[in-house]
Amino acid sequence: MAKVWIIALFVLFNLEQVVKGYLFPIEPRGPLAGNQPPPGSVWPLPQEWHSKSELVAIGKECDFEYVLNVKNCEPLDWAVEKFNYKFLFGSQLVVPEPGLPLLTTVFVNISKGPENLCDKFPNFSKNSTYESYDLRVVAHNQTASVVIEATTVWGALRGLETFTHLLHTKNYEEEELHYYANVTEIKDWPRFPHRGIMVDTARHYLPVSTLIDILDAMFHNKFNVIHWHIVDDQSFPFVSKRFPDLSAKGAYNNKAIYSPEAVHLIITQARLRGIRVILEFDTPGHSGALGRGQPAILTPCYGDGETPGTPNYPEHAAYENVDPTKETTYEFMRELFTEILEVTEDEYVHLGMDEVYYPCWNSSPAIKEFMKENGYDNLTDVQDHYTKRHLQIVSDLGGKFIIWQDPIDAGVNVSLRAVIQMWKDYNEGGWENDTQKTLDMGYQVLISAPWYLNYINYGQSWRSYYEVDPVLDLKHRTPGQEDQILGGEVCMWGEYVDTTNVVPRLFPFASAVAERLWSAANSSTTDDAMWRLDEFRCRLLWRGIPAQPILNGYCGPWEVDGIK
Amino acid sequence: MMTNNLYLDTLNVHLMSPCEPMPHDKMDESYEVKINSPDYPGQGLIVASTNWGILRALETFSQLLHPNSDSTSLQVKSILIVDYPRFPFRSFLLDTSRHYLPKKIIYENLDLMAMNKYNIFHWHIVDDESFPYQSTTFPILSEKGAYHPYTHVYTQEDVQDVINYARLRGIRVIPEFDTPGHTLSWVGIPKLLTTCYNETTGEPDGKLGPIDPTVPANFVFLRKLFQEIATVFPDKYIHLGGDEVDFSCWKSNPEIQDFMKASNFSTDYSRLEELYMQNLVDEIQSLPQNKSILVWQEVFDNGVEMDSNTVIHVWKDKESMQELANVTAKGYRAVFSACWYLNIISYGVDWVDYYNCEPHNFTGTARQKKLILGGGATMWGEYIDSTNVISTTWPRAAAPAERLWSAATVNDTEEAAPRLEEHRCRLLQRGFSVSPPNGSGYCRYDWN
Repeated sequence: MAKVWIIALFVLFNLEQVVKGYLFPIEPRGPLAGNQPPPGSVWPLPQEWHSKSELVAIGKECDFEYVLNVKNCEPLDWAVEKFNYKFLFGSQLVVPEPGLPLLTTVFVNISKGPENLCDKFPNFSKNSTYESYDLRVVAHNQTASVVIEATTVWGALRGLETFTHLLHTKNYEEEELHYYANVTEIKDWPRFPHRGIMVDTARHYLPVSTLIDILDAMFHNKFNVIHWHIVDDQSFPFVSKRFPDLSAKGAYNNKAIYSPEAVHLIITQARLRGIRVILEFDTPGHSGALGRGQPAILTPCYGDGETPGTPNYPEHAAYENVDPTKETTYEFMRELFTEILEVTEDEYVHLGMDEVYYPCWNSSPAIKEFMKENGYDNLTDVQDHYTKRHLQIVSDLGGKFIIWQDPIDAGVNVSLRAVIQMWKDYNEGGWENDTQKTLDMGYQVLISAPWYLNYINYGQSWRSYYEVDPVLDLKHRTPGQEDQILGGEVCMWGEYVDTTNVVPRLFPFASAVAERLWSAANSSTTDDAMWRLDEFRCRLLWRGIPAQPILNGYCGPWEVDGIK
Repeated sequence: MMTNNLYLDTLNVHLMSPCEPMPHDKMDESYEVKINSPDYPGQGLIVASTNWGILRALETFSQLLHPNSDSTSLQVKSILIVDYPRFPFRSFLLDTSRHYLPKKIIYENLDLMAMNKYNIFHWHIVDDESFPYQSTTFPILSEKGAYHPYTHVYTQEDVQDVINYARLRGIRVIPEFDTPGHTLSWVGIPKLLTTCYNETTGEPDGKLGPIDPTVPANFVFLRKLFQEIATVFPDKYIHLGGDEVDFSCWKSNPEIQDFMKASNFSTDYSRLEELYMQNLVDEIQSLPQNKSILVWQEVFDNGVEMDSNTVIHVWKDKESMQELANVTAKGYRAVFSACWYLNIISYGVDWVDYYNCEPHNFTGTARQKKLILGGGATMWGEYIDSTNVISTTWPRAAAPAERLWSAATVNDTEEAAPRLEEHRCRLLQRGFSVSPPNGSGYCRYDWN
């Protein structure tokens, strides 16, 4: 027995190359910068994490179980089924290392009352306990257990995800693998309540299975919002029951659609992962496809100066921007958004409002007439008119809204109840300056401008995403304004992206943003994070998510046979 | 004479000469496709001198088929095509050292290459980071140098499988074993790599550098290794690399310093590099297989004397056209990759830049232009592995493919864009994860 202990100790002290990812520097002229963390590191980095060198061992499948204190909590049941033994450890034989306490049980304890939110859809909350959790890996002599405690089911989901990162192994060669976890105490909660990814299914259709793949990867990164930019100029795949022509005439083809069942499926699958679905129906610009299915919704442009519905390329098309002059426009919007608000389970809906180009309105005598009638001096007033009415309609229907920053930039008077999403990086002073101005006006904001992951370039772009700080980068902020920064979103616009490349393009670069939005500010240098990100990338790969590499290297012998 | 309901139910294939088993540098890839042509009414024919031409013709024929408007049948236009490549050397480089690429990914890439009429797989098989090639003469190279000695290697069987898969598609495999730099993974051979010294302490600093050219045993090793490589890889050409040799380690090593003095090289380390390449080339050229050699441009730039049959691979973007002029002025043949580094990704419609790159755009005589054998696109592997190699490479690599095959006058990107879009959708339909190259849109076929 003593011999086994000595060997075990010897092996324990030789833990250098045991991480799940192996990184090699580009042009190896020297060692990679940063400190390699011990194996079983968590991404995103927890707020408070005390790990001991003491290990516990995982046993065979029959010796491992989850014990939940609340039954029939659907997302929790889903999560422990997902994190089943096979998912975590693969199909190789796992044998507990003798002499170490055997980890047999993962206890998940949430509130027993309705405050556990098991029956609810996740929503926006600034409440500090909404996604917080405590996690302990404790050893008691010969056995060990994990205890995850959270108020809500969402906290429990975050805790379970963290638990799965703590598991590590040394050597994939062995016939019998040893898996371990360190004795650990974690207290964790997100720095920002809104941590999202925006997907664009209008420029290229994304099949439902791809959206679910993205939700899975988001789940592992503790993202909690999917902002679904579902329609745009190019196509309208959303099937509306009230207005079936919208997709019948607006979708790319009759297969590239999202039926009500499909939308509902995405929303319910997102819920299981603690992810909100925020639908965006962008108006008055970005509405070309809307015009195909809804006659007379778009403003006719006068390209030739006299005929409505004539283009003047490249200034404007034949029809552009939702027509603000017609009452039928607002009746349509009221009906459409009644349906949208029935479909969505989130309190918020995204109303777009970006890139409202003026040349079409400028060419139209009808618009001129409209301006005269209303005493408007310029087109900004027209945009203001539409914005106000549209926001009022949605507000009257009980919806809360997020809009892009454009109306604020144009001086439109937007209610302070709107959340403003910052996306521009090209104004003077950059997104930081735009954001500061918006905060000074009193708005709540979401940051996306530095996180346009569709703007690919060569090399380690994830570093620049990681080094953005949505609060600390605002050098002129005043105390209290920090509360107005609700979080941020990765944007993956779809011009050059579809199911063939969206997942590797999103991950693991989006993981850099995931950590920035969850973890404490300045909790890791970029160089140190690189090692942890590589280990996490390999974990995603192990789980069947084709996250692309961040540097030379490999993940492990298992990667050659294809992802599991 | 011709009715509206003409059915093509037979495609006649005429091979005009005996079947050649291995693709080679002088192969004739020309062919004709005739569908209901005036000299062959109501029938379909492909005819080529060689089986390689037949392969190219079949690919072309497959691209002529298109569905009718309600997708109930396939159609093909009456047509007469006479086709042949503008350049005989049309290569695609995969890097299996920075990241290991499983054989099935290499196969997928070879399929896509064939569909784009690429005819050379430039296999950059080993480099600093890993040595996945399992050598029978020196098994220690992959034992110590591969990322993993069992799973992340190419066995002899794997290598022959790849060569055969390529062969059946009319694709040659040119291996590159890059030396003397880019060799840090070759640690398995003792004393092969230069020991670097700390200049202050005079002690080794723990790092290793390029192959040490002052150790005669190293050339014995290299000869044995390349003897094996020359047998394993049947193509006439071997790529010897020779790029980016960092002199700092050589400079720091006292034994090499002594050697430099004794050889009267003074402090000109490019002369030491020249000595290395010279010795290596001499070894290769004395091998019985009579191989021809490709080297990266540094070997030429640094004044190494080479056999006039050596092909110079121009890769540096800066003044690349001037380099082509210089190389061909000296009478060497060249292949061009400088503008086709597909691993350097960027946002948007970047295939246009690859399409617009013209290998003959340098000032030189017609004779010089003839010395350009062609070129190749590269997909270096620092940020590329099986999760993203296919979607990053294709269909962007279709742009150099057309530049290298089609006539120089076929250079209008506006005309090419919709054709590339159709080509992308075709490759997608064939089951390959090929990205959207032109912006928003969709392909007209069933979603799964």
